[in-house]
Amino acid sequence: MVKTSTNIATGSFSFTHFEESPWPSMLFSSVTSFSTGKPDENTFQTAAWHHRGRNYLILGAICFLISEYSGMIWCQQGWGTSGTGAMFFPIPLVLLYLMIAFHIPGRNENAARIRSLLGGLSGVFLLTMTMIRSLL
Amino acid sequence: MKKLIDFLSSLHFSLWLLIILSVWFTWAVVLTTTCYYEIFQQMNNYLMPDWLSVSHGKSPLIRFRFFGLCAVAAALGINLIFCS
Repeated sequence: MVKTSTNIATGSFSFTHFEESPWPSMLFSSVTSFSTGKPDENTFQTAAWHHRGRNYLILGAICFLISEYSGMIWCQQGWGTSGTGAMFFPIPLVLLYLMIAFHIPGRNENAARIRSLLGGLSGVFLLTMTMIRSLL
Repeated sequence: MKKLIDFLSSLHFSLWLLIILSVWFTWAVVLTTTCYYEIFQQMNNYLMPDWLSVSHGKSPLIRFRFFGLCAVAAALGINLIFCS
């Protein structure tokens, strides 16, 4: 569909599509985190895969924040208010989930396992929150 | 004093605040599935200073949620200042 100003004004092209931008990197991060194996295995290959998963999670978080900021600008321009109001609440939960995933303290094996688990579930959590939001 | 600063700047403190905030927003999601949906929708039409002055802000539950959210967010801000 051609994205004209009329389409934007009528809301047929909503800013919520921008929120799909972090999906690929976060899902790839999830797959990477789950397919790595035990996070406490201190091999070079395992560490490299964990770093890759973490980096893609950071990339997904950046895309997520950019999409949310574009949504704010979209609303300020008066092009639409889809996703605001009561439907807003699942979105901060995604941001808080990412913040928790990046703020697990400790350098021991348990902390590494929790980090790996949270990183692995990030894509699933994002999709779940998107579905809950669409149901509200 | 040093212990207090260490506590305020600790990663454990920020983690617990983030968990509390997550619970707070999950509670909001649960509230939107009940009769509070319309109240949250109406709040979206007002600026933040007016939230508690108009009729929908007189609900004690909404007030408690709002002030609790402000308190935890302020604590997270203090944590951010001390850890940076």
